[in-house]
Amino acid sequence: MKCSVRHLVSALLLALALPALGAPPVDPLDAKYGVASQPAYIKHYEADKTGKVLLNPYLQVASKDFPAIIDPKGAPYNWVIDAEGRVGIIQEAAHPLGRTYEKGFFRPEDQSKRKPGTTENYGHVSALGGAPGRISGEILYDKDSKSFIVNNKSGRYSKHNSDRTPEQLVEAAKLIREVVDTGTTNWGPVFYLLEYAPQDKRDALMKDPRIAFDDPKTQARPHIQVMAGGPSQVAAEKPVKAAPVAVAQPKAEAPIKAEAAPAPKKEEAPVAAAGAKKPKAAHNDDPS
Amino acid sequence: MKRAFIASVLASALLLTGASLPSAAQDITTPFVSVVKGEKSYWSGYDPINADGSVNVVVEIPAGTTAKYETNKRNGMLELEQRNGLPRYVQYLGYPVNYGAIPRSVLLKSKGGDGDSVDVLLLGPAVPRGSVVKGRVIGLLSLVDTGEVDNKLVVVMEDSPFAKLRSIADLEAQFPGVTTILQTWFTSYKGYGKDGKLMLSSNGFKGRIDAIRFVGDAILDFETSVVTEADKRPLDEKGNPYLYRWPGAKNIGE
Repeated sequence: MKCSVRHLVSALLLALALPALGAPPVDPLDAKYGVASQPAYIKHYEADKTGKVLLNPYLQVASKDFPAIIDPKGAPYNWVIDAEGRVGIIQEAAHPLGRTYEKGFFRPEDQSKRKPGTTENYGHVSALGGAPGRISGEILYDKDSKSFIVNNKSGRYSKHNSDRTPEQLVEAAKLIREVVDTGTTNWGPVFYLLEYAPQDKRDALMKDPRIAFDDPKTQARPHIQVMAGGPSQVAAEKPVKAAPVAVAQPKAEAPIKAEAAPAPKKEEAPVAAAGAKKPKAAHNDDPS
Repeated sequence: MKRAFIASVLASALLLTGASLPSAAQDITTPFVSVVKGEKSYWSGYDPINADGSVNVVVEIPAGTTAKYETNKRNGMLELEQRNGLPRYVQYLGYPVNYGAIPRSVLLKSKGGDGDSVDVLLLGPAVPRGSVVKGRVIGLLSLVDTGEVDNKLVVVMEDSPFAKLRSIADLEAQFPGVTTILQTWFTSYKGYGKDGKLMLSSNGFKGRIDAIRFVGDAILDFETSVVTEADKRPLDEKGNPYLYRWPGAKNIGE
């Protein structure tokens, strides 16, 4: 009898413990920014001959303690939410292992086609060295509204994933605004591009009353504005006050000639309201 | 002959002093040559940046010392510079900061650079020569050396009192005098030129965005300059790239 009770208690404890052991831990970041998933693909030039995916030389990993800093001169930028929920920011640049195709190219294997003059640039994977990532996209500078537009354009980490939603883009955009210093430039609207959405989300969102198109006639590049523009939230880096050191120093009684201090940054006029500017759904022909 | 003998004795004496300096790697010292050999080439063996956004800095001259070591591009070792047959020691106060370089970076002469890697002022405690240290970029000290641009990247060492700084403005606000010390030391240590003017001048500091662009450009220039067609994956007979399959990707096609 004693043995039976002991067995019963053991069995009960085991039954209680098993589900806890078997259940995968829930990562709150999964719901917020999408599950960290392997890149959909790596382009032929992005990994060296040892298979190492080269990091973008302009990589910044933004956090509240150490915000990234961007300016219109460096745009367009790519952004990626990594597995730890940090924001990787990279500047577009030609890849050293890439080429420029004067006549474009066509690849029968996957029917990829590129127009003449295509240059192979660093893509989103160069922000993570090919590691798994969450929702990703671009930060574009819109000259008309003088603001930074955010979208979800990433063929590696946004497209081809079943859980990349407009809500996740909003969460990512909120985080980006908290950890990216834009100086005096405001944030523009945030656009969810349906071409980079999972198929089921895309079908549903095509019926959304907010749907807009770059070309309404052909219904090209459908998108939805999911967030309005706003001011930069990170305190802008203060201008450097250190005085220049004079070029000429007197050995005798020569007068001290001091150089003029560098002119302070000219502030851009604040943007009154972020307009409904059409997003550049495919900024590059080469989808990243 | 007599001059060579004096130089030899002087060099030996100086190098004996130098041998007691801290080093993070293998020291090789002879009466005429003193080098530090790392596990890898200090010029090209270490990554310039890390996945967390930090940069790697090769420490060539620890803070407080005067021996002028620099990276030899041909053999990847740190070498004590020679000038007029003598090892070069800065004839001034010791370096106020760890001085080093970003590996796998180059300031191309065709772009107005000196053909060397990006110079770094690494803020933090003195670390041994030959160390490769992680840090974050906060700005750029603008310097002109006898007419040539000679900018220095300002980097804060991880796990140091400076680690939480975001910018040069933070440095000025939280560590009074440091920017002035750096500017004064680097514009003064070479002394006066024949024209009676300091050989180096400074236009002050530039912010982080300029610094990130400066070092990013130099890393990209290095990679581009060392890549040959043989390093790239071949194209098909029509000049089209093949589809690439990477073990860590889903490989679902572009």
